[in-house]
Amino acid sequence: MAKKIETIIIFTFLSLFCLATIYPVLNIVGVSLRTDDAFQSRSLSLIEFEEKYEDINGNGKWDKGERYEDVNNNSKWDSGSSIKSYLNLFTETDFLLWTWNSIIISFVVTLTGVIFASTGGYALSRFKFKGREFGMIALMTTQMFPATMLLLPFFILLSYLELINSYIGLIIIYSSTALPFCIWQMKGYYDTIPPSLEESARLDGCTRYQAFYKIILPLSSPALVITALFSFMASWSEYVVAAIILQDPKLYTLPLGLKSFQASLSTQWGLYAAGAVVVSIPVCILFISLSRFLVSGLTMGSVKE
Amino acid sequence: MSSVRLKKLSKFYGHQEILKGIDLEVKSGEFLVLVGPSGCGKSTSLRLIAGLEEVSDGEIYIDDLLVNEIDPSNRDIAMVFQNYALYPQMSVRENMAFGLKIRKLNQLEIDNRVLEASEILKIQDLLDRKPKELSGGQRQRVALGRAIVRQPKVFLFDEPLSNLDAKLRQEMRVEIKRLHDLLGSTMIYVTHDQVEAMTMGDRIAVMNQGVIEQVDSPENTYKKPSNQFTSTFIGSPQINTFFGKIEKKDSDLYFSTSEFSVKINSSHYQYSRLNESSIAFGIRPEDIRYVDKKDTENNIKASISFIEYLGQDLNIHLRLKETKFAMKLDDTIFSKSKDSIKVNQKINIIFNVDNAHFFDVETGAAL
Repeated sequence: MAKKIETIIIFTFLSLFCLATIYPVLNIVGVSLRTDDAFQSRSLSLIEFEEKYEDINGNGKWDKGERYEDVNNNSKWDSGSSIKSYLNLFTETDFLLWTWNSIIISFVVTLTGVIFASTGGYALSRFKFKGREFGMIALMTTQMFPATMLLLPFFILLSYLELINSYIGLIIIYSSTALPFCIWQMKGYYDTIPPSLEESARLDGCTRYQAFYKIILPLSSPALVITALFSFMASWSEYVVAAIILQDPKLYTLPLGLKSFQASLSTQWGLYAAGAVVVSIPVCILFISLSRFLVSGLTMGSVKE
Repeated sequence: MSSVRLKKLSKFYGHQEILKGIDLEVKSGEFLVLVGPSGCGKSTSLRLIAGLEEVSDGEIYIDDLLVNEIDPSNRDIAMVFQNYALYPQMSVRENMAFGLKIRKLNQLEIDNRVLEASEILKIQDLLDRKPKELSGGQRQRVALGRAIVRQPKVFLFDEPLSNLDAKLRQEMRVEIKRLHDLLGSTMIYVTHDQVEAMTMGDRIAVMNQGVIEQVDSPENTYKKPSNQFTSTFIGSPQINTFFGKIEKKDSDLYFSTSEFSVKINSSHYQYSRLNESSIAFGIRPEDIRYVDKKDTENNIKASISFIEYLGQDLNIHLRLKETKFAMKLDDTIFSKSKDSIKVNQKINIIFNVDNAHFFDVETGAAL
């Protein structure tokens, strides 16, 4: 009985959290399918019918006070569902250009993250050298500073290097902020792999480097995937730093591009929502397709615990 | 088959000297066991030979080639680790073939060698399994197989059996010894278990605190230990050591403590080297005999503190006024004299002094 109650409580909690997670997603998908400024709508229905209205003001849009047929039965005028926002997003905005920019930047940041974190973490895990402890603490310390605090020094640094308004500048910042975590992550994982595996490989005829990439790297795929995901996410959805570094709209990344739909007087919520949905799709695909790597325990059975 | 020679080999970790200039020669085709308590430097010696640690000082020769600066990958050595160190992402077959692939042997040769080794070790049925699907004993066999296929100059074993249970350990002990007879390769085996050392080694090198105390056949390390450490390390229960004096009465020599005195026979192998002096006297538990009644001059009366029953024989732990020691007793004798051999009872015993050992108190060296 107690077990049953426990299960019920657990499931209630889980359901509540699921709802809390799903609501904003449904909401934004809903908004992206409206043609007008439906941001205030609390409706979660994805498909709505357009409701006819009496255009008293003759301005081609529904104004407050104008009569309408409440087909959807929700006591408000609905503009109906369409994929117009999506079409507009791809045809009338620079969305594809921003996507391309984001892809390049994220790809380079991910690649640097994986290369440097996998090798740097290995060195910290396996070699004893002067400054090792200090280096590790220093890496950790950089994670204590909030990104906004680093904005000014970054900006000054990049302007000295004349890298403001360039991808390289942004890539340097994204990589340097993501790397400490990734290095720690990789180091922690390598620590769980017994050194006798590499020693065995070296006696089997491998050089130190061969032992690393033939034996240790394949074993570290769960950690590599996390590292790659983290690096990717750090650059794909980053806004604040990009807003400071990139000023030319041609160089905008996706988050900057989306923000540009938001003007001081009117915001194109439909476009904004459609953009947000499209931007989050690759991340979802990545997570789902890589989830099988996220299970660790690959080293089980190699050594006697 | 190759010989291995260590010349004044030293290893420092920081300021700590782990190996203190050891000399050792392992003959071609020999099974040499490095045995000693933990921290004595035996595993370090093995890792230095393998090239996994850098030599601080001294030289290592494989055959007549100085290998100090040669990378482990080029030393042509195979090592079996305590934790097996199988590659978890590879099947048994791939594990065994890995070293051969790296050395770019042709596929036919690789397949043949893997098959041959798996037949020797009876693991043909496991070839397509992953290490995590194997039991401890099977993993150990695969680790052995991975070493065998390489046909290396020297095999190194780093406490390979210490993760197995007692029964399996005994099986694998026989197995490894059988492999040595079959392959005739040079093998260096590190263990802290003196039973493994005694049963497996052609010769045993007893190590203690970074030095080799004695290198000799199992029989000699047991019967003629060159120092007190070897005598106490080899043998279970360990040798009883008493501190006392050599005294001369008439023309005979006696070993005396405050509690007993025993006559030393002139035929004793150390007799000619004994003088009147302080000395350590070592006698193995099996060289102490139980007698029903007081009848000889070397007779000692001791009381029983406790009895360990082991089946075929028993360990009887005895005490005099101040000293404690142990003797072995055959079960047949015990069965006959159950009434007199009880805890807290006094029994008569005789030291078989002919088999005793005498050591210098200061240096521990055998006299």
